[in-house]
Amino acid sequence: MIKTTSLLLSLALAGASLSVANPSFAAAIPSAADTAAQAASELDEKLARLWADRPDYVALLEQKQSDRPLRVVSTVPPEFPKSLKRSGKKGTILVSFFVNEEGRVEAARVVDSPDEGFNKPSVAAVLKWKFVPAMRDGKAVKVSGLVPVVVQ
Amino acid sequence: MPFAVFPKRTAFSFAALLVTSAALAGAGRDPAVTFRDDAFTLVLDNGIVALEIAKENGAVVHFAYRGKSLLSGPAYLDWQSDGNHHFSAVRCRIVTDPATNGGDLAEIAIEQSGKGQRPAFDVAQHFVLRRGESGCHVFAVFHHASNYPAASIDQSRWVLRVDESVFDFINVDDQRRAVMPPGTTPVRTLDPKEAMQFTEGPWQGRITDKYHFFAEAGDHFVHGWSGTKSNLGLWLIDGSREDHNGGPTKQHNTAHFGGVLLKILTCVHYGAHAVEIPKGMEWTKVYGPWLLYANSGGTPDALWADAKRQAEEQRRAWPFSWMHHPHYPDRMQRGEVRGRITVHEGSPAMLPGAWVGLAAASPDWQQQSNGYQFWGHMDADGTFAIPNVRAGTYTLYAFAPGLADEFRRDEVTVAAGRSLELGELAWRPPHFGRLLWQVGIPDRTAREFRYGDNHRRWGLWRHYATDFPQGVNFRIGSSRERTDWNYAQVTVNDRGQWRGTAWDVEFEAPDHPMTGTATLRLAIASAHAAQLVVSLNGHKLDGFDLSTDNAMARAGIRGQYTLRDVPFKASRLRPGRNVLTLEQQTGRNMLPNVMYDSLQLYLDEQRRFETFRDTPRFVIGANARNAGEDND
Repeated sequence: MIKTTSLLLSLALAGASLSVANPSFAAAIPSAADTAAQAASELDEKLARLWADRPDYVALLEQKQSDRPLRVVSTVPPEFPKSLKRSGKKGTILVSFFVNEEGRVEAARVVDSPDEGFNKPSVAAVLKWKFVPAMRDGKAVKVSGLVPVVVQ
Repeated sequence: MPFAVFPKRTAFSFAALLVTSAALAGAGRDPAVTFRDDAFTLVLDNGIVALEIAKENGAVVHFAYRGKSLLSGPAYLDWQSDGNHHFSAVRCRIVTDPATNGGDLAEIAIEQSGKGQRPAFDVAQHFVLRRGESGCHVFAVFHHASNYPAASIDQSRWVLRVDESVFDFINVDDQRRAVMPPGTTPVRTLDPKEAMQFTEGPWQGRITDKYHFFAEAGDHFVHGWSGTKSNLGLWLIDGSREDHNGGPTKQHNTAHFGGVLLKILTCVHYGAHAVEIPKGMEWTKVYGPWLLYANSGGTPDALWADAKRQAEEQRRAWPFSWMHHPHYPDRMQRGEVRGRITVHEGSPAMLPGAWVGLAAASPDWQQQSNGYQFWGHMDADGTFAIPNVRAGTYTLYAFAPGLADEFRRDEVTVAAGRSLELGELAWRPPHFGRLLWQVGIPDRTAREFRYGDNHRRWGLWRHYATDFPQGVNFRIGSSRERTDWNYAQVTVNDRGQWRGTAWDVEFEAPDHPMTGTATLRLAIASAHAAQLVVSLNGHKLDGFDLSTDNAMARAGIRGQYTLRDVPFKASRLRPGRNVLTLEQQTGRNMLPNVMYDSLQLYLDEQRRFETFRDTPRFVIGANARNAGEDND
């Protein structure tokens, strides 16, 4: 049975402000590698491929940690189609996104997903999330984020 | 079995000594409170805890204790009032700038006007940070202007989600403390859907349900999370229960699976009523202040002990001298009520658990949500003192284990700064003659019956069909409550059809023809969608539709208490063996049920039987009505 709740989303959001290389994310990747470092490296490569058409975002992926990480202001849960809910499919949809200097999500794409049907609703939801922007050197900056949407 | 993972503590841990209670530190040495208005957030910091509040929606987007972030997402206030609402278009206001008081205190307010539209309430949430305290005080103010449309609030909560990489141990009360599986642990939902069964990992097969973590409000002042590895704790602490709806027996949500931590402001669960404000009424209610408290060091036991100490401290300090709001009277604006309640023709001493309180005259205090209630325990001799009562006129209520009735005295006027001595108050429960028999103990719960002592478990209702294949047939004199009377009169599934059940009580009446009046007192701890028909020796005495509180499905052992008196001609009693039948007639699904608190049969051979229209059949409980009238 599929059960995606705001609760699970917010759990996942714990990591939204962390670096993409943070080992805690490695566990969220379905194709988890043997070690956290390996998984992080694998994830870096995936993200770079995912945003290859947007060099500006790839540059952000590689940026150093901000002084003040993103803070979540509000979230919206994804609305999956009923047919998908009935199918009993579950897993983790990993969504990569970018938050601008105003705290708005300006782009989001799925990194990993157990079923394509989850992708569009997950991206649509993440695009509606709001954040307090990250700060670096006293200024709001655009940063990357990553969130696992857990469906169970 | 959600509480199977209890840590065993056999000796006092030295770590307990290491718990940090920053509040105990000398105020003079603590850093000043600072306030900063960022572009997106308001930032409060006292050097111990720091919080950031989003200017967009008032959510606490960051709460840190000594630099360590403790929340996994935004903490927000919501209220169900014709739909679910959060702050959306708020005004942020600095109420007290710490720069004006040498850094002793900062208060900010997040405010939103209902403007008479949906939702028709003005809502404000205040955050108060004081120098040297290891936490932040929070309160909410709901206001309804007289020109707003009629409106109601079913529920209001402050919802936090703790960071589960820091916190893995839930603390509800002394009996309910355990390691919790991480919120990402796979589950399948059960019926009711709030119950979830873990499908993988070391918790596989176990069940968790938010209703297993509800607590009765009367004696509950603290709950929270701690970390077995982080040695940190995060707690919600109430200094008073005056703001809670439904009185001391009302059950409220506390914390549950998924790192959820809750402060319930008002809630209709277990049959309580919504806040209901008619058009034309000017209404304001202050909820709180409560304390979001953080501590560190030591084991979960030590953190819990420290949190309880902090709760005691908050209760002693109530009403808070630092709190300044026009709708929060200070100590001098409140009064006290003292007295001694003595029970006549009943048990000579108050048993532990006896409550006395002040609330509005109507409806039943269990159903009150608009105002404030002030409850406390009575001593064994019935002596009581209720301090810090907001000035006004109340009804004094009392109820106690062993007594099915409740005491009330109307028109008790509390004046600011005064202690009202009521002296000795005689509680004279009605007299129905000689007690022939009794099943259960009148204490407003079904705790003494089968499973009643361990009721916060999923699916208890399913045991009935195998435990009682012939139904309950309770023989006065030989049957035992703990084994022979189920905690709830449930429905059974008979070849795909749900149907109600009939329970018998067999008893011996005096061995001679009887005259006068017999009275069956039916004390009901909870009921849901139940139609109850009471018969004696196959002849119907009475019937009721009972209140709907859903306590059984929500793992409670009580909901809305009601007391029914069923008087009948004593001549209906046969000399010798009699059978009283309680038939719950609603089928439908697994939800309809009756939880009995106690049954008492009295016989008064001197008293002339009068028709029920002259006799109060309905004694306590506001939302029940009679289903049938088959009496003479």
